[in-house]
Amino acid sequence: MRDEMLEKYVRLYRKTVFGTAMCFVKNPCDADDIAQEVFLKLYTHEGSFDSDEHVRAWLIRCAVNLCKSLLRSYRYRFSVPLEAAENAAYPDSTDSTALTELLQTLSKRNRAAVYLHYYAGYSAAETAQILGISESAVMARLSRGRKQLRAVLQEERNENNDGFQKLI
Amino acid sequence: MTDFRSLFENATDETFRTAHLPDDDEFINIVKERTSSMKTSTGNNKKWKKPAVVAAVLGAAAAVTVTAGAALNWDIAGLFTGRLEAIKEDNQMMMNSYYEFFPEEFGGEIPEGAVSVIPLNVRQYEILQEMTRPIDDTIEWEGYSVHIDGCAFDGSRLDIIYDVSYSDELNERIKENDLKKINDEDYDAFLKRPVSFGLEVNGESITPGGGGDHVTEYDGKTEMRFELITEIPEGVTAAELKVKTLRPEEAVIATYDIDLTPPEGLSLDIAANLARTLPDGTTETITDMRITPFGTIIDCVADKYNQQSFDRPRARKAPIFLFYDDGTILDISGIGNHVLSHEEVNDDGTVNYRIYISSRGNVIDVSRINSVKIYNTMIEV
Repeated sequence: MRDEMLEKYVRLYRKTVFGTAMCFVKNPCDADDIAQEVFLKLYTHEGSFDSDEHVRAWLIRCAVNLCKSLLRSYRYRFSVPLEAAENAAYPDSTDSTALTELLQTLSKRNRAAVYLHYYAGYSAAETAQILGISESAVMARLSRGRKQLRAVLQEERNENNDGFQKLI
Repeated sequence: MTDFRSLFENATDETFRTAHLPDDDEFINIVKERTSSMKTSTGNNKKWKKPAVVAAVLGAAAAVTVTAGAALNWDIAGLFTGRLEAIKEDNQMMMNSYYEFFPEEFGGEIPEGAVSVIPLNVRQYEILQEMTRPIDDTIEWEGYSVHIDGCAFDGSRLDIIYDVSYSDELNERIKENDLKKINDEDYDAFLKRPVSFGLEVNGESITPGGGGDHVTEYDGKTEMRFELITEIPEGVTAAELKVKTLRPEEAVIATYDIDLTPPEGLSLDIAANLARTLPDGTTETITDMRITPFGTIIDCVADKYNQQSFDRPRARKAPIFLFYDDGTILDISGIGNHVLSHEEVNDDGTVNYRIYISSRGNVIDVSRINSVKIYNTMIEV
C-alpha cells in the first residue's frame, strides 16, 4: 500500500480500531499496540480493497482477531502494565481513562457488539459477521448493553443538572 | 443512538488526550519504520509499547523498575519471571512439608534464617534478560495451535516455554479423554501435549530421550502451557531446536536455530572434595560444583553402584545453602527434584555421575554469593 493511503486510513480509522481493541484489552497502551499491528498489516497488505468501507471492515476484523489471540496468550494473562505495577507500590495513582471507564460499565461480553453497532455504525448482521457470532446473539448483547449505557447517560444527566443547580 | 455514539466519541477523544499516545503523524512514522525494519531484519522491530511487568505475584513485580529502553528480550524474560514466581510458590510448600515430615532424611543442619524463595529484584531480571532468547512463533495443525514463546539458557540448562491452544473439537475430545482417564485405562495420554522437542547439532541429537521434563499446567479451559527443561552438553554453542508431533508419528513441524553461547559471568565454579556416606553405606564424593542462575550442577563419584540409591531421589538429598552478601541465606537443597545424568560405571566399580538441582523458581545471582554450605561444610568463594 502506498504511503498516502496509509496516512489516509490512519487518520480515518485509527480511533475506531483503537476503540475496538479497547473493548478487549485492558489498557490504552495495549490497544494502541494492537492498532499499530493492524495498520502494519494494512501497510504490507498486497490485496486490493473495493472501497473505504471495505478497508474499515478489514481493519476491525483484523483488530478483533489480534485481540483474541493476545488474550489467549499466557503472556497477557500473566502480565500487567508497568503503571499497574507501580500503582501497587504507589496506590494513589490511577491509569484509568474515560474510555476504560465507559467500557467497564458494559459487561465484557457486550462491549465489542455495542461499540461496533453504536460507535462504528455497523448493523447487527455486520457486527455478527465481524465478531463471528450469530445475529441473535448480537441482538441480545445490544439489548443488555443499551440498558447498561442508559444508566450511564442518566447518571451523566443527573451530574450535569447538579452542576447547573450549583451555578444558579 | 446518537447519544450512545457521542458517548463513545467523547470517551475515545478524551482517552487520546490523556493517555499520552502518539499523535497520528508519529503513529504513521512508527508503522513505516517497523515495516522498513521488517524488510531488513528478522527481529528487533521497533515497537511503541510501554513495557509490561509480569505479575503472577504482583507484590514481587511491583518492586521491579525497568526502563523501556531495556527491552529487546523484555517479553520473554517477563514471561519467565511469571513462570518462576508460580514455581516458587510450589517450592515453598514442598520444602516446608519436607522439613516437617522427613527432617531425619535431610541429612544436614539448616542454618537459622534460611529461606527457600527470594523476591525478584532488578538484577535478577537483568540476568533473565541476558539468558533469554525469544522465538515468538505459532505453529498450527490439526486443531492444535502451539505458540513457542522462547527459551532461557543459563549456560547448562535450557528452559523452553510454550503454550498450546485447542480447537473446540479437540477441547471436547480432551474432556471425554479426561473422563476416560478417571474411569479406565483407554485414554490418550498425549492428547493435551501434542509436541515433543529435541535439540540437534549437524543432524545428531544432543538431547537423547527427546524432550526433557515437561512441567504442565492446565487451566481447565482451552489452554495449557509447558516448560521444557533439558540439559545441554558442554562445548555446544548452537543447536537446532526441532519441534515434533507426538501423534501419529514424530514429524518435524518447526525448526529454530538456538544460540547456546553461555552467558558470561553468570555461573560460579567451585572445586570441592567433599565426601559423605549415604544411608545405603555408599560413599559419595563431590568433586566439582557449578552454581548457575537456574540451579546447581554437582559432579560426584560414588565408591559403588547401588541401583536402589540411584532410583530413589530422596536418597540423593543434598543440603545446599547459599550465603548472600546482604545476609540472605537461600536454601536450594536438592530434595526429591533433581536429575541424575552422565552415569558412568568405571572398571574399578566406582561410578561417576552428575546431579542437577533446580533453583525452583529462584534466579541465582552468583556475584552476590559469599559462601556456600553443602552438607555441613562451609566453602568461601
